[in-house]
Amino acid sequence: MKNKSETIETGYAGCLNQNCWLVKNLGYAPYRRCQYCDFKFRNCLFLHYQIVSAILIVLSFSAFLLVEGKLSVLAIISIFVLVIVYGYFFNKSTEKIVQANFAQRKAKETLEKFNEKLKDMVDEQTKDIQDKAEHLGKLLKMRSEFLDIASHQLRTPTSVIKGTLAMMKEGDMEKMSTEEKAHFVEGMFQKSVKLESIINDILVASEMDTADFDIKVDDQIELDQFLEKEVKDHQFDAEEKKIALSFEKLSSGPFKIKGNAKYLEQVVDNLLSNALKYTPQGLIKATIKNDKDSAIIAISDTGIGIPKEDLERIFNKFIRGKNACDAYTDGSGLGLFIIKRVMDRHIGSKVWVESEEGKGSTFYLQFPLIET
Amino acid sequence: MSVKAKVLFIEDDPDQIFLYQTKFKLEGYDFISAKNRLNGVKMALEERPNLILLDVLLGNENGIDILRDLKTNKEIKNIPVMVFTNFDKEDTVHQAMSLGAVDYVIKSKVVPSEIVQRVAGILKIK
Repeated sequence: MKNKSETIETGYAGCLNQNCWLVKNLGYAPYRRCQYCDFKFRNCLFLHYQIVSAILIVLSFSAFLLVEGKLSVLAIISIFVLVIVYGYFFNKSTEKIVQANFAQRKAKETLEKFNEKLKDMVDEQTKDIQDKAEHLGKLLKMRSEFLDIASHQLRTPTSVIKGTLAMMKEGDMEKMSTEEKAHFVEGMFQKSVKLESIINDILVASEMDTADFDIKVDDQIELDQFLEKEVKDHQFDAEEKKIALSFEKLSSGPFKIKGNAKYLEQVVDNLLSNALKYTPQGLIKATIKNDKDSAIIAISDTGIGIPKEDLERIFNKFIRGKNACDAYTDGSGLGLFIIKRVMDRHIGSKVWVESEEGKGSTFYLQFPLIET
Repeated sequence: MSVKAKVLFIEDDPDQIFLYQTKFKLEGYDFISAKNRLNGVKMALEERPNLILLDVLLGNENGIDILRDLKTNKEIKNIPVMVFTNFDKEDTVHQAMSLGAVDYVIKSKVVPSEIVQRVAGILKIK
């Protein structure tokens, strides 16, 4: 015999007699609905009682009509009453079983739902923890890489300064020619300048390297005047290198933008300094023009350019073009990274570069205008 | 004064080259240098130095790749290579030593006279 829960699920909740002759032979087992759970079941014995009662009534009346005996009528009536009572109590017990089965089923369903909910919650929290651990791992890796490279960048000029001073201390300078001595002094000076520049860049870059780095961009800047001033500030360096540095307005404006003047000054300064650094001879042009509702600054040079393979990652931290490293320049590899981070914080603005190795580079800065 | 030994420095920073070249020459060594992987291996093959000082970060090139080139070339694999860099990372140190470097020295932690002494020690020069 099937247990109760199986009975419920197979749809025979009320029928305890699965081998019922009527069900098996006549297929007589019409469905009833359970009053508790709306579950369809066959209450065949209850129905049997009705059928058997009906047959007995017919038989008793037939017998009465046939024999006209009082005893037989009483016997038939007794049987009839017994069947009714039996059927009534059987039906009641069936209902109790159904009710118990229903309660069990409900409890099971509730437990399953709870389990499912609990599992979902655990899965969700596990995923959340995994995501956080992964993110933390990435941050730690980035921090470690940053420290490795930053410490290398800082140690390089330090080791030259320290090495030169050690040689002076040990009396090696006396054995050197005047040119060699001058070279060492110049080398130490350049390395100390580089050291200062790297320290500044690292401080700025590490500040920018946090997810919550934000800058106020509410200064109203006349971009054409701003660029012209920056170009003027670099004229002296350009003249010293015998490089022609020019400024040109390619359209009439307006060029008013909203931004952070301090950081944008650093952006333009980095671009002009890079252009001067990587242009051994030729010219550097700084232009400004309108493009629909934006202003575009272009700083182009006839310098060493950027190799194709370095173009994609040129705005990453500590990345310098291969040819820039080969040429004797003192870049920290952070200038373009700083530019990119500052431009990213100016909504609607962008920076990009077009370059050809050996021919020169053009860096573009695009800003949305506040007045058109 | 006879030359004690020939040292090849694979390094991309001209100031570093000038510094160690001056010191090694003052100490009686023949000192040559190469700025990248290609020239480094080429000079090692042509010049057959007694020892190679090798930087790790040479622009976009990795000194470990250069070390691998040097140590997989039958003709020059026996030349002792001392990694001489400011890049201080444990993984890189292990990598360099397992590839056959004789030492891994951080430039900023030594002065030129110390590096000359270490080279002399490796080459057993008095």
